[in-house]
Amino acid sequence: MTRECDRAGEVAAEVLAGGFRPDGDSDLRRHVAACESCGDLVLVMSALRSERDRIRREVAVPSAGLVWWRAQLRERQEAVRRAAAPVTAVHAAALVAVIVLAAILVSTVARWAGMPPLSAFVPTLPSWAETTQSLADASPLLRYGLALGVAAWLLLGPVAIYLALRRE
Amino acid sequence: MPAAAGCSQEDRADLRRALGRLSARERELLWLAYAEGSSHREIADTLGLRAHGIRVLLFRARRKLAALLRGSGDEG
Repeated sequence: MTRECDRAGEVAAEVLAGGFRPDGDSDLRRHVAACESCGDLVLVMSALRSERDRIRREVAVPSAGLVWWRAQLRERQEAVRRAAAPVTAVHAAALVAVIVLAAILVSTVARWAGMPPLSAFVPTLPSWAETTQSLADASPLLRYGLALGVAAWLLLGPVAIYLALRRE
Repeated sequence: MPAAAGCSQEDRADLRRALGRLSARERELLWLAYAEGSSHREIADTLGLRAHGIRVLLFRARRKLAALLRGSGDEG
């Protein structure tokens, strides 16, 4: 057959109404069994509608509320991550400052108590005298720069920690 | 029931294989007409075609797909 059957609309309506059963015995079904064009129509429509139904079942679109909630959650997580980055850096700087201060404190107490210096136990470590001597030998510009840097670090470190914790 | 009209994995594979052998235009025509239930006018507007030509194009595309489905059904 090279043209559309006159009963194609009727057959299509039957398929759309809930599926066409070719094993029935109505007049239309007998026609479909005999008509090549309508047979093609039933075959193609059934296959495509079955595929469409399957796709619709599988592709479950989430509700607008769920999409909004997920977006909010992502935004919140991103904000937390952004806020945590400087805090982490401040914490690291504070930890280093505490370690240095503790080392200075231990060293000072050890000297007052007349204990042997740490360099006595660890030969590779320079002694206090060597360290102060090497600092004394350094250029004035380097010494002032170093002193200024350490002072600024020790002063600004606690301020930065205070500001970071206050923001939290 | 004709081949590829069911819901099994094999039927779906047959359908996809058959659709893959059609042109993009034929696939669009058939999908809009039979999966989405669009009218000829809607199909013409969607695809930028003339409405009076849709009937013939659809008929040819349908015949082609049916032949492919029957062919793949016979092979299986």
